[in-house]
Amino acid sequence: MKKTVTEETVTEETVTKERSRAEGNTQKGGKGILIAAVAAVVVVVLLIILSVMFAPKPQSGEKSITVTLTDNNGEDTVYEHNTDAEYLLEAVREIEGLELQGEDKEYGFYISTVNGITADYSIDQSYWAIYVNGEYGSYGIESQPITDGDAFSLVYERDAY
Amino acid sequence: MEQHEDGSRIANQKWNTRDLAEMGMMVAALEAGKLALSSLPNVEIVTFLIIMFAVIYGLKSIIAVVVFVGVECLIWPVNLWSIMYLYIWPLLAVLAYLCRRQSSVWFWSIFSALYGFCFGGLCAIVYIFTSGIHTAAAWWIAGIPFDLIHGFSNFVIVMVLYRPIRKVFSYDQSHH
Repeated sequence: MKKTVTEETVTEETVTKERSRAEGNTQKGGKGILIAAVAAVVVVVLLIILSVMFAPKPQSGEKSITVTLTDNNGEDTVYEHNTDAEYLLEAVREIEGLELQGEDKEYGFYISTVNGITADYSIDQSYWAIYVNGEYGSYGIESQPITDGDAFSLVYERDAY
Repeated sequence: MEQHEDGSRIANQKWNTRDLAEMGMMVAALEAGKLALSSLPNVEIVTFLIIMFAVIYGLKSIIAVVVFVGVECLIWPVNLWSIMYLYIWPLLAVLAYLCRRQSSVWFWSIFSALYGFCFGGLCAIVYIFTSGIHTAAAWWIAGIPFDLIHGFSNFVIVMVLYRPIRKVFSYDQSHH
């Protein structure tokens, strides 16, 4: 009998403790949600501002560009070209002597073959890289904007396994 | 067996077979989850799983995430992505672990969205060392639309899956 009373007391105490902790958690939870929500809104606004201000935009009208093709032997062929195209894929397709093949993927056009040279990442970790004015490109060929005087490179590259 | 509320063993006790099995299952679930959605751009379930594991299994989840990253390095060619993975998933595991007392689906949905929004920025850190700050910034900014999609898709995934999965795990935890 005595034992039962003790057990009941313990259970009651536990319940009270748990209830107060749960209440504390709810208050803390509300605060946590608020902090996270404010942080998320701030980050989204910041990202949109950065994107609008700093993402490169294509230039309209005629532009003169160079496209350098570096093949799997490291040999360069330079193509000079004038174009009204706003994005690189369209401009490259206009260039005589530069044959591009590939397919539309989830992220955009994926280059597989240039002038008969195929890069296949699944076979030997090779791929066609795009450089823009000497720097590694951040865009796919389809969404790479063009401005006058830009120097692009299409380079056959392989990742070390 | 003495346990903390978060399911992690107290410090002076060694991992037992159950812990090892749980960690193995966490690694397997992360690998399977990653592979299953790898064809969908900017939609992934790894963030959700890491959050769930941190909430349910506590400290063990961080070890599982480190093992997951190790397995990824063995499966895929070592490149820039491997280096990003070395810190991006363990960092998420640690952050989720620190917030493990939060139980609201809203908190975790927003938390996962926030991590998605910051994902590109966190990945870009590697480019600072390999290609300089200019390339890193350009790469980050080019990827912002994808970060936004990533954040919103994380939000939806956690919003939809958190409660049902949490329920399944709490059943498992209460039937030791």
